Amino acid sequence: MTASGPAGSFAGDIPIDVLGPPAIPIWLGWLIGLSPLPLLIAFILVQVRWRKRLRAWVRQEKPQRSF
Amino acid sequence: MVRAIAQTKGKRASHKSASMRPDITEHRIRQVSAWIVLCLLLLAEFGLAWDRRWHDMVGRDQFWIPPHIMMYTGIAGAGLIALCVVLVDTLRYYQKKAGVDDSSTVNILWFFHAPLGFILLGIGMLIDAIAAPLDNYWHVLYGVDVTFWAPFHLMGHLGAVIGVLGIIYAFASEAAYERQVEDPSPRLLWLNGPEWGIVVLLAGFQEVVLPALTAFIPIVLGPVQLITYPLILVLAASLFPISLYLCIRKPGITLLMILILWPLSLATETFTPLALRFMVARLGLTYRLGREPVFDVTIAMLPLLYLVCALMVEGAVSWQRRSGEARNDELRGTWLLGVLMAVPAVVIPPGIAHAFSLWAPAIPLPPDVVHVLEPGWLAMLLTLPIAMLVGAIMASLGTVFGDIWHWNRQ
Repeated sequence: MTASGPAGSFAGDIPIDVLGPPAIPIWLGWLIGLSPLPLLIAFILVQVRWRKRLRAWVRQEKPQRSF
Repeated sequence: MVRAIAQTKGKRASHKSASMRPDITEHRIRQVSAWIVLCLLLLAEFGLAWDRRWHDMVGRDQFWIPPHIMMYTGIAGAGLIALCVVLVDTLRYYQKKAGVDDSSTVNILWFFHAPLGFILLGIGMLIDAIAAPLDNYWHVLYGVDVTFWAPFHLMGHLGAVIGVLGIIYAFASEAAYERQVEDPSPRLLWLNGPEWGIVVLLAGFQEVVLPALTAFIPIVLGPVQLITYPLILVLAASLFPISLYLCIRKPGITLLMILILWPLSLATETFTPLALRFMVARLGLTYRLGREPVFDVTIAMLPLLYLVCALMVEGAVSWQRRSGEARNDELRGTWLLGVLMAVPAVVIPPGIAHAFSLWAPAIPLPPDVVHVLEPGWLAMLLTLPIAMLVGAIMASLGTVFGDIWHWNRQ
Protein backbone atom coordinates (compact mmCIF):
# COMPACT_ATOMS: atom_id res chain seq x y z
CA MET A 1 0.00 0.00 0.00
CA THR A 2 1.30 3.46 -0.81
CA ALA A 3 0.26 6.47 1.28
CA SER A 4 1.03 9.94 -0.07
CA GLY A 5 0.70 13.28 1.75
CA PRO A 6 2.33 16.70 2.32
CA ALA A 7 5.15 15.06 4.25
CA GLY A 8 5.95 12.70 1.39
CA SER A 9 4.91 9.16 0.51
CA PHE A 10 5.48 5.82 2.12
CA ALA A 11 5.04 2.35 0.70
CA GLY A 12 4.62 -0.66 2.93
CA ASP A 13 3.05 -4.11 3.11
CA ILE A 14 -0.05 -4.86 5.11
CA PRO A 15 -0.37 -8.58 5.69
CA ILE A 16 -3.94 -9.78 5.34
CA ASP A 17 -4.99 -13.32 6.14
CA VAL A 18 -7.58 -14.39 3.58
CA LEU A 19 -9.63 -17.35 4.71
CA GLY A 20 -12.00 -19.38 2.62
CA PRO A 21 -15.46 -20.17 3.92
CA PRO A 22 -15.57 -22.84 6.63
CA ALA A 23 -15.20 -26.15 4.88
CA ILE A 24 -18.21 -28.42 4.82
CA PRO A 25 -17.21 -32.06 5.43
CA ILE A 26 -17.24 -34.08 2.24
CA TRP A 27 -19.62 -36.67 3.71
CA LEU A 28 -22.07 -33.94 4.72
CA GLY A 29 -21.91 -32.45 1.25
CA TRP A 30 -22.81 -35.80 -0.29
CA LEU A 31 -25.51 -36.40 2.31
CA ILE A 32 -27.20 -33.10 1.48
CA GLY A 33 -26.56 -33.42 -2.24
CA LEU A 34 -28.10 -36.87 -2.51
CA SER A 35 -30.98 -36.16 -0.14
CA PRO A 36 -33.53 -35.87 -3.03
CA LEU A 37 -32.58 -39.35 -4.26
CA PRO A 38 -34.56 -41.33 -1.63
CA LEU A 39 -37.50 -39.04 -2.36
CA LEU A 40 -37.29 -39.86 -6.07
CA ILE A 41 -36.87 -43.60 -5.44
CA ALA A 42 -39.80 -43.62 -3.01
CA PHE A 43 -41.94 -41.79 -5.57
CA ILE A 44 -41.03 -44.32 -8.26
CA LEU A 45 -41.88 -47.25 -5.95
CA VAL A 46 -45.25 -45.67 -5.16
CA GLN A 47 -45.85 -45.27 -8.90
CA VAL A 48 -45.01 -48.94 -9.53
CA ARG A 49 -47.58 -50.02 -6.94
CA TRP A 50 -50.11 -47.47 -8.25
CA ARG A 51 -49.72 -48.78 -11.78
CA LYS A 52 -50.46 -52.32 -10.60
CA ARG A 53 -53.73 -51.11 -9.14
CA LEU A 54 -54.51 -49.09 -12.26
CA ARG A 55 -53.87 -52.07 -14.54
CA ALA A 56 -56.06 -54.31 -12.44
CA TRP A 57 -58.82 -51.71 -12.62
CA VAL A 58 -58.47 -51.21 -16.36
CA ARG A 59 -58.55 -54.96 -16.97
CA GLN A 60 -61.85 -55.09 -15.12
CA GLU A 61 -63.11 -52.79 -17.91
CA LYS A 62 -63.67 -49.69 -15.82
CA PRO A 63 -61.54 -47.28 -17.83
CA GLN A 64 -63.61 -44.20 -17.07
CA ARG A 65 -62.71 -44.27 -13.39
CA SER A 66 -60.22 -41.55 -12.47
CA PHE A 67 -57.60 -42.09 -9.82
CA MET B 1 -67.98 -30.26 -50.44
CA VAL B 2 -71.14 -30.79 -48.41
CA ARG B 3 -69.26 -33.24 -46.20
CA ALA B 4 -66.41 -30.76 -45.68
CA ILE B 5 -68.87 -28.02 -44.65
CA ALA B 6 -70.61 -30.43 -42.30
CA GLN B 7 -67.24 -31.40 -40.77
CA THR B 8 -66.34 -27.75 -40.31
CA LYS B 9 -69.69 -27.07 -38.66
CA GLY B 10 -69.17 -30.14 -36.47
CA LYS B 11 -65.74 -28.92 -35.45
CA ARG B 12 -67.11 -25.46 -34.65
CA ALA B 13 -69.93 -26.98 -32.62
CA SER B 14 -67.46 -29.21 -30.79
CA HIS B 15 -65.18 -26.27 -30.08
CA LYS B 16 -68.10 -24.22 -28.85
CA SER B 17 -69.33 -26.96 -26.56
CA ALA B 18 -65.78 -27.57 -25.27
CA SER B 19 -65.56 -23.93 -24.24
CA MET B 20 -68.85 -24.30 -22.36
CA ARG B 21 -67.69 -27.17 -20.14
CA PRO B 22 -68.31 -26.28 -16.49
CA ASP B 23 -64.73 -27.12 -15.50
CA ILE B 24 -63.11 -25.31 -18.43
CA THR B 25 -61.68 -22.53 -16.24
CA GLU B 26 -59.79 -25.02 -14.11
CA HIS B 27 -58.34 -26.80 -17.11
CA ARG B 28 -57.41 -23.51 -18.77
CA ILE B 29 -55.49 -22.54 -15.63
CA ARG B 30 -53.64 -25.85 -15.65
CA GLN B 31 -52.93 -25.97 -19.38
CA VAL B 32 -51.83 -22.36 -19.76
CA SER B 33 -49.58 -22.73 -16.69
CA ALA B 34 -48.10 -25.94 -18.08
CA TRP B 35 -47.30 -24.29 -21.43
CA ILE B 36 -45.63 -21.32 -19.74
CA VAL B 37 -43.57 -23.73 -17.62
CA LEU B 38 -42.61 -25.63 -20.77
CA CYS B 39 -41.30 -22.40 -22.35
CA LEU B 40 -39.38 -21.55 -19.16
CA LEU B 41 -37.84 -25.01 -19.01
CA LEU B 42 -36.74 -24.76 -22.64
CA LEU B 43 -35.11 -21.44 -21.72
CA ALA B 44 -33.39 -23.17 -18.79
CA GLU B 45 -32.29 -25.96 -21.13
CA PHE B 46 -30.54 -23.52 -23.46
CA GLY B 47 -29.03 -21.81 -20.41
CA LEU B 48 -27.75 -25.15 -19.11
CA ALA B 49 -26.11 -26.02 -22.45
CA TRP B 50 -24.49 -22.58 -22.55
CA ASP B 51 -23.42 -22.85 -18.90
CA ARG B 52 -21.71 -26.19 -19.48
CA ARG B 53 -19.64 -24.74 -22.32
CA TRP B 54 -18.96 -21.58 -20.31
CA HIS B 55 -17.49 -23.63 -17.45
CA ASP B 56 -15.35 -25.65 -19.85
CA MET B 57 -14.03 -22.78 -21.94
CA VAL B 58 -14.15 -19.64 -19.79
CA GLY B 59 -14.24 -20.88 -16.21
CA ARG B 60 -16.47 -20.10 -13.31
CA ASP B 61 -15.27 -17.04 -11.46
CA GLN B 62 -18.64 -15.86 -10.15
CA PHE B 63 -22.26 -16.92 -9.80
CA TRP B 64 -23.91 -14.14 -11.81
CA ILE B 65 -22.68 -15.11 -15.25
CA PRO B 66 -25.04 -14.81 -18.26
CA PRO B 67 -25.77 -18.55 -18.66
CA HIS B 68 -26.58 -18.86 -14.95
CA ILE B 69 -28.98 -15.94 -15.23
CA MET B 70 -30.67 -17.54 -18.22
CA MET B 71 -30.90 -20.96 -16.56
CA TYR B 72 -32.08 -19.78 -13.15
CA THR B 73 -34.64 -17.42 -14.71
CA GLY B 74 -36.27 -20.50 -16.23
CA ILE B 75 -36.04 -22.50 -13.00
CA ALA B 76 -37.29 -19.69 -10.75
CA GLY B 77 -40.14 -18.85 -13.14
CA ALA B 78 -41.24 -22.48 -13.29
CA GLY B 79 -41.09 -22.74 -9.50
CA LEU B 80 -43.17 -19.59 -9.04
CA ILE B 81 -45.81 -20.81 -11.46
CA ALA B 82 -45.98 -24.15 -9.64
CA LEU B 83 -46.44 -22.29 -6.36
CA CYS B 84 -49.21 -20.13 -7.86
CA VAL B 85 -51.08 -23.14 -9.25
CA VAL B 86 -50.87 -24.97 -5.90
CA LEU B 87 -52.18 -21.93 -4.00
CA VAL B 88 -54.91 -21.09 -6.53
CA ASP B 89 -56.10 -24.70 -6.73
CA THR B 90 -56.13 -25.02 -2.95
CA LEU B 91 -58.32 -21.93 -2.78
CA ARG B 92 -60.57 -23.21 -5.56
CA TYR B 93 -60.78 -26.64 -3.87
CA TYR B 94 -62.15 -25.11 -0.67
CA GLN B 95 -64.50 -22.94 -2.77
CA LYS B 96 -65.74 -26.19 -4.39
CA LYS B 97 -65.16 -24.88 -7.93
CA ALA B 98 -65.97 -27.19 -10.85
CA GLY B 99 -63.10 -29.48 -11.82
CA VAL B 100 -61.21 -29.12 -8.52
CA ASP B 101 -62.02 -32.07 -6.30
CA ASP B 102 -60.39 -35.19 -4.92
CA SER B 103 -60.51 -36.91 -8.32
CA SER B 104 -58.44 -34.18 -9.99
CA THR B 105 -56.05 -33.13 -7.19
CA VAL B 106 -53.89 -34.72 -4.53
CA ASN B 107 -53.63 -33.63 -0.93
CA ILE B 108 -50.27 -32.54 0.45
CA LEU B 109 -49.40 -31.51 4.01
CA TRP B 110 -53.03 -32.13 5.05
CA PHE B 111 -54.09 -28.74 3.66
CA PHE B 112 -53.01 -28.09 0.08
CA HIS B 113 -54.93 -29.60 -2.86
CA ALA B 114 -53.35 -29.36 -6.30
CA PRO B 115 -52.51 -31.47 -9.36
CA LEU B 116 -49.74 -33.96 -8.60
CA GLY B 117 -47.65 -32.62 -11.48
CA PHE B 118 -47.48 -29.06 -10.18
CA ILE B 119 -46.63 -30.29 -6.67
CA LEU B 120 -43.75 -32.34 -8.07
CA LEU B 121 -42.65 -29.42 -10.23
CA GLY B 122 -42.60 -27.13 -7.21
CA ILE B 123 -40.58 -29.63 -5.16
CA GLY B 124 -38.08 -30.10 -7.99
CA MET B 125 -37.58 -26.38 -8.55
CA LEU B 126 -37.24 -25.85 -4.78
CA ILE B 127 -34.49 -28.48 -4.68
CA ASP B 128 -32.75 -26.66 -7.55
CA ALA B 129 -33.07 -23.34 -5.74
CA ILE B 130 -31.46 -24.87 -2.63
CA ALA B 131 -28.74 -26.57 -4.68
CA ALA B 132 -27.68 -23.34 -6.45
CA PRO B 133 -26.04 -21.51 -3.49
CA LEU B 134 -24.65 -24.77 -2.11
CA ASP B 135 -23.08 -25.52 -5.50
CA ASN B 136 -21.60 -22.04 -5.55
CA TYR B 137 -20.18 -22.65 -2.06
CA TRP B 138 -18.72 -25.98 -3.20
CA HIS B 139 -17.02 -24.27 -6.15
CA VAL B 140 -15.57 -21.61 -3.82
CA LEU B 141 -14.14 -24.40 -1.67
CA TYR B 142 -12.90 -26.78 -4.32
CA GLY B 143 -12.41 -24.66 -7.43
CA VAL B 144 -13.97 -24.20 -10.82
CA ASP B 145 -13.08 -27.60 -12.23
CA VAL B 146 -15.47 -29.61 -10.12
CA THR B 147 -16.83 -32.34 -12.38
CA PHE B 148 -20.37 -33.50 -13.01
CA TRP B 149 -19.94 -35.88 -10.07
CA ALA B 150 -20.12 -33.22 -7.37
CA PRO B 151 -22.77 -33.46 -4.64
CA PHE B 152 -24.61 -30.26 -5.42
CA HIS B 153 -24.44 -30.80 -9.17
CA LEU B 154 -26.21 -34.10 -8.58
CA MET B 155 -28.67 -32.40 -6.24
CA GLY B 156 -29.46 -29.89 -8.99
CA HIS B 157 -29.90 -32.67 -11.55
CA LEU B 158 -32.16 -34.67 -9.22
CA GLY B 159 -34.25 -31.55 -8.67
CA ALA B 160 -34.50 -31.07 -12.42
CA VAL B 161 -35.56 -34.69 -12.93
CA ILE B 162 -38.30 -34.35 -10.29
CA GLY B 163 -39.43 -31.04 -11.77
CA VAL B 164 -39.58 -32.33 -15.34
CA LEU B 165 -41.41 -35.45 -14.17
CA GLY B 166 -43.85 -33.07 -12.52
CA ILE B 167 -44.61 -31.06 -15.61
CA ILE B 168 -45.00 -34.26 -17.65
CA TYR B 169 -47.55 -35.45 -15.06
CA ALA B 170 -49.31 -32.08 -15.37
CA PHE B 171 -49.55 -32.32 -19.16
CA ALA B 172 -50.40 -36.03 -19.07
CA SER B 173 -53.31 -35.59 -16.67
CA GLU B 174 -54.71 -32.87 -18.91
CA ALA B 175 -54.21 -35.07 -21.98
CA ALA B 176 -56.08 -37.92 -20.25
CA TYR B 177 -58.86 -35.49 -19.38
CA GLU B 178 -59.08 -34.24 -22.99
CA ARG B 179 -59.23 -37.83 -24.26
CA GLN B 180 -62.08 -38.77 -21.94
CA VAL B 181 -64.43 -35.78 -22.22
CA GLU B 182 -67.25 -35.99 -24.71
CA ASP B 183 -66.48 -32.59 -26.23
CA PRO B 184 -62.67 -32.39 -26.51
CA SER B 185 -60.74 -29.30 -27.54
CA PRO B 186 -59.50 -28.99 -31.15
CA ARG B 187 -56.64 -31.26 -32.19
CA LEU B 188 -53.60 -30.77 -34.37
CA LEU B 189 -52.39 -33.83 -36.29
CA TRP B 190 -54.57 -36.15 -34.15
CA LEU B 191 -53.00 -34.88 -30.92
CA ASN B 192 -54.65 -32.69 -28.34
CA GLY B 193 -52.75 -29.70 -26.91
CA PRO B 194 -51.41 -31.38 -23.76
CA GLU B 195 -50.23 -34.36 -25.82
CA TRP B 196 -48.15 -31.94 -27.90
CA GLY B 197 -46.75 -30.59 -24.66
CA ILE B 198 -45.65 -34.08 -23.59
CA VAL B 199 -43.95 -34.73 -26.94
CA VAL B 200 -42.02 -31.42 -26.80
CA LEU B 201 -41.07 -31.95 -23.14
CA LEU B 202 -39.73 -35.46 -23.70
CA ALA B 203 -37.84 -34.27 -26.78
CA GLY B 204 -36.29 -31.50 -24.70
CA PHE B 205 -35.44 -33.88 -21.87
CA GLN B 206 -33.71 -36.23 -24.30
CA GLU B 207 -31.75 -33.33 -25.73
CA VAL B 208 -30.46 -32.43 -22.26
CA VAL B 209 -29.04 -35.94 -21.93
CA LEU B 210 -26.94 -35.75 -25.12
CA PRO B 211 -23.88 -33.98 -23.60
CA ALA B 212 -23.61 -36.92 -21.20
CA LEU B 213 -21.43 -38.27 -23.99
CA THR B 214 -18.54 -36.22 -22.62
CA ALA B 215 -19.66 -35.78 -18.99
CA PHE B 216 -19.51 -39.54 -18.40
CA ILE B 217 -15.85 -40.36 -18.89
CA PRO B 218 -14.43 -43.92 -19.05
CA ILE B 219 -13.52 -45.68 -15.77
CA VAL B 220 -10.14 -47.40 -15.87
CA LEU B 221 -10.28 -50.98 -14.54
CA GLY B 222 -6.70 -52.26 -14.77
CA PRO B 223 -5.91 -53.06 -18.38
CA VAL B 224 -9.41 -52.28 -19.68
CA GLN B 225 -11.82 -49.39 -19.50
CA LEU B 226 -15.51 -49.30 -18.66
CA ILE B 227 -17.23 -46.80 -20.93
CA THR B 228 -19.94 -44.98 -19.02
CA TYR B 229 -21.63 -42.79 -21.64
CA PRO B 230 -23.75 -45.66 -23.08
CA LEU B 231 -25.34 -46.14 -19.66
CA ILE B 232 -26.91 -42.69 -19.59
CA LEU B 233 -27.66 -42.73 -23.32
CA VAL B 234 -29.48 -46.06 -23.14
CA LEU B 235 -31.35 -44.77 -20.09
CA ALA B 236 -32.80 -41.93 -22.16
CA ALA B 237 -33.13 -43.94 -25.37
CA SER B 238 -35.25 -46.63 -23.71
CA LEU B 239 -37.17 -44.72 -21.04
CA PHE B 240 -38.51 -41.83 -23.11
CA PRO B 241 -39.83 -43.40 -26.33
CA ILE B 242 -41.47 -46.29 -24.48
CA SER B 243 -43.12 -44.05 -21.90
CA LEU B 244 -44.19 -41.64 -24.66
CA TYR B 245 -45.79 -44.36 -26.76
CA LEU B 246 -47.64 -45.83 -23.78
CA CYS B 247 -48.78 -42.40 -22.67
CA ILE B 248 -50.29 -41.36 -26.01
CA ARG B 249 -50.70 -44.79 -27.70
CA LYS B 250 -50.61 -43.61 -31.27
CA PRO B 251 -48.30 -45.19 -33.86
CA GLY B 252 -45.56 -42.84 -35.09
CA ILE B 253 -45.57 -40.72 -31.94
CA THR B 254 -41.93 -41.54 -31.09
CA LEU B 255 -40.84 -40.49 -34.59
CA LEU B 256 -42.67 -37.20 -34.11
CA MET B 257 -40.62 -36.71 -30.95
CA ILE B 258 -37.41 -37.26 -32.94
CA LEU B 259 -38.63 -34.72 -35.53
CA ILE B 260 -38.77 -32.17 -32.72
CA LEU B 261 -35.66 -33.36 -30.90
CA TRP B 262 -33.25 -33.18 -33.81
CA PRO B 263 -33.86 -29.51 -34.74
CA LEU B 264 -33.78 -28.71 -31.03
CA SER B 265 -30.41 -30.39 -30.73
CA LEU B 266 -29.08 -28.54 -33.79
CA ALA B 267 -30.41 -25.25 -32.41
CA THR B 268 -28.76 -25.85 -29.04
CA GLU B 269 -25.42 -26.79 -30.58
CA THR B 270 -25.58 -23.73 -32.84
CA PHE B 271 -26.65 -21.38 -30.05
CA THR B 272 -23.99 -22.28 -27.47
CA PRO B 273 -20.80 -21.43 -29.42
CA LEU B 274 -22.40 -18.28 -30.85
CA ALA B 275 -23.61 -17.07 -27.43
CA LEU B 276 -20.26 -17.92 -25.89
CA ARG B 277 -18.26 -16.01 -28.52
CA PHE B 278 -20.61 -13.03 -28.28
CA MET B 279 -20.49 -12.71 -24.49
CA VAL B 280 -16.76 -13.42 -24.22
CA ALA B 281 -16.09 -10.61 -26.71
CA ARG B 282 -18.61 -8.32 -25.06
CA LEU B 283 -17.28 -8.85 -21.51
CA GLY B 284 -13.62 -8.82 -22.57
CA LEU B 285 -12.97 -12.33 -21.26
CA THR B 286 -10.47 -14.88 -22.54
CA TYR B 287 -10.72 -18.60 -23.17
CA ARG B 288 -9.07 -20.76 -20.52
CA LEU B 289 -7.19 -23.10 -22.81
CA GLY B 290 -6.86 -20.67 -25.69
CA ARG B 291 -9.22 -22.56 -27.98
CA GLU B 292 -12.48 -21.13 -29.23
CA PRO B 293 -15.80 -23.00 -29.06
CA VAL B 294 -16.81 -25.00 -32.11
CA PHE B 295 -20.04 -26.57 -33.29
CA ASP B 296 -20.05 -30.06 -31.71
CA VAL B 297 -20.96 -32.17 -34.70
CA THR B 298 -20.94 -35.46 -32.75
CA ILE B 299 -23.56 -34.31 -30.29
CA ALA B 300 -25.58 -32.69 -33.08
CA MET B 301 -25.69 -36.06 -34.88
CA LEU B 302 -26.35 -38.12 -31.75
CA PRO B 303 -30.16 -38.01 -32.15
CA LEU B 304 -29.47 -40.70 -34.75
CA LEU B 305 -29.27 -43.06 -31.77
CA TYR B 306 -32.70 -41.95 -30.58
CA LEU B 307 -34.04 -42.36 -34.11
CA VAL B 308 -32.85 -45.98 -34.23
CA CYS B 309 -34.42 -46.67 -30.82
CA ALA B 310 -37.68 -44.95 -31.83
CA LEU B 311 -37.81 -47.13 -34.95
CA MET B 312 -37.39 -50.20 -32.72
CA VAL B 313 -40.37 -49.10 -30.61
CA GLU B 314 -42.48 -48.34 -33.68
CA GLY B 315 -41.53 -51.70 -35.20
CA ALA B 316 -42.55 -53.54 -32.03
CA VAL B 317 -45.82 -51.59 -31.85
CA SER B 318 -46.64 -52.33 -35.48
CA TRP B 319 -45.85 -56.03 -35.11
CA GLN B 320 -47.82 -56.43 -31.89
CA ARG B 321 -50.83 -54.59 -33.32
CA ARG B 322 -50.82 -56.76 -36.43
CA SER B 323 -50.45 -60.00 -34.47
CA GLY B 324 -53.19 -58.98 -32.02
CA GLU B 325 -50.89 -59.09 -28.99
CA ALA B 326 -51.46 -55.46 -28.07
CA ARG B 327 -54.49 -55.39 -25.79
CA ASN B 328 -55.64 -51.81 -25.02
CA ASP B 329 -52.78 -50.64 -27.29
CA GLU B 330 -50.28 -51.85 -24.69
CA LEU B 331 -46.69 -52.68 -25.56
CA ARG B 332 -45.43 -56.04 -24.33
CA GLY B 333 -41.87 -57.17 -23.75
CA THR B 334 -40.49 -53.66 -23.34
CA TRP B 335 -37.54 -54.94 -21.29
CA LEU B 336 -36.32 -56.79 -24.37
CA LEU B 337 -36.49 -53.56 -26.38
CA GLY B 338 -34.36 -51.92 -23.67
CA VAL B 339 -31.79 -54.70 -23.94
CA LEU B 340 -31.61 -54.31 -27.72
CA MET B 341 -31.31 -50.52 -27.46
CA ALA B 342 -28.04 -50.94 -25.56
CA VAL B 343 -26.33 -52.03 -28.79
CA PRO B 344 -26.83 -48.75 -30.71
CA ALA B 345 -26.08 -46.79 -27.50
CA VAL B 346 -22.64 -48.42 -27.37
CA VAL B 347 -21.88 -48.43 -31.10
CA ILE B 348 -23.42 -45.29 -32.63
CA PRO B 349 -21.47 -42.51 -30.82
CA PRO B 350 -18.02 -43.82 -31.80
CA GLY B 351 -19.46 -44.65 -35.21
CA ILE B 352 -20.43 -41.01 -35.75
CA ALA B 353 -17.01 -39.79 -34.63
CA HIS B 354 -15.20 -42.31 -36.87
CA ALA B 355 -17.43 -41.46 -39.82
CA PHE B 356 -16.57 -37.78 -39.52
CA SER B 357 -12.85 -38.42 -39.07
CA LEU B 358 -12.89 -40.64 -42.20
CA TRP B 359 -15.18 -38.73 -44.55
CA ALA B 360 -15.07 -35.17 -43.25
CA PRO B 361 -11.72 -34.66 -41.52
CA ALA B 362 -12.01 -30.90 -42.03
CA ILE B 363 -14.79 -30.77 -39.43
CA PRO B 364 -13.07 -30.49 -36.04
CA LEU B 365 -14.18 -32.73 -33.17
CA PRO B 366 -13.87 -31.26 -29.65
CA PRO B 367 -10.97 -32.89 -27.71
CA ASP B 368 -13.26 -34.14 -24.92
CA VAL B 369 -15.35 -36.05 -27.48
CA VAL B 370 -12.22 -37.63 -28.96
CA HIS B 371 -11.04 -38.62 -25.46
CA VAL B 372 -14.34 -40.28 -24.53
CA LEU B 373 -14.62 -42.18 -27.81
CA GLU B 374 -11.05 -43.45 -27.77
CA PRO B 375 -11.67 -46.85 -26.07
CA GLY B 376 -11.75 -49.84 -28.39
CA TRP B 377 -13.82 -52.96 -28.96
CA LEU B 378 -12.81 -54.68 -25.70
CA ALA B 379 -14.09 -51.76 -23.65
CA MET B 380 -17.31 -51.78 -25.65
CA LEU B 381 -17.83 -55.49 -25.06
CA LEU B 382 -17.24 -55.00 -21.35
CA THR B 383 -19.78 -52.18 -21.22
CA LEU B 384 -22.47 -53.83 -23.32
CA PRO B 385 -23.94 -56.21 -20.66
CA ILE B 386 -24.19 -53.39 -18.12
CA ALA B 387 -25.81 -51.13 -20.71
CA MET B 388 -28.27 -53.95 -21.52
CA LEU B 389 -29.20 -54.24 -17.85
CA VAL B 390 -29.74 -50.48 -17.59
CA GLY B 391 -31.79 -50.57 -20.80
CA ALA B 392 -34.01 -53.38 -19.49
CA ILE B 393 -34.62 -51.60 -16.17
CA MET B 394 -35.32 -48.25 -17.80
CA ALA B 395 -37.62 -49.74 -20.43
CA SER B 396 -39.62 -51.39 -17.63
CA LEU B 397 -39.72 -48.07 -15.79
CA GLY B 398 -40.87 -46.42 -19.01
CA THR B 399 -43.78 -48.87 -19.07
CA VAL B 400 -44.74 -47.87 -15.53
CA PHE B 401 -44.64 -44.14 -16.26
CA GLY B 402 -46.29 -44.50 -19.67
CA ASP B 403 -49.26 -46.41 -18.26
CA ILE B 404 -49.71 -43.98 -15.39
CA TRP B 405 -49.46 -40.95 -17.65
CA HIS B 406 -52.08 -42.52 -19.93
CA TRP B 407 -54.60 -43.09 -17.16
CA ASN B 408 -53.92 -40.56 -14.43
CA ARG B 409 -56.16 -37.47 -14.20
CA GLN B 410 -54.92 -36.06 -10.91
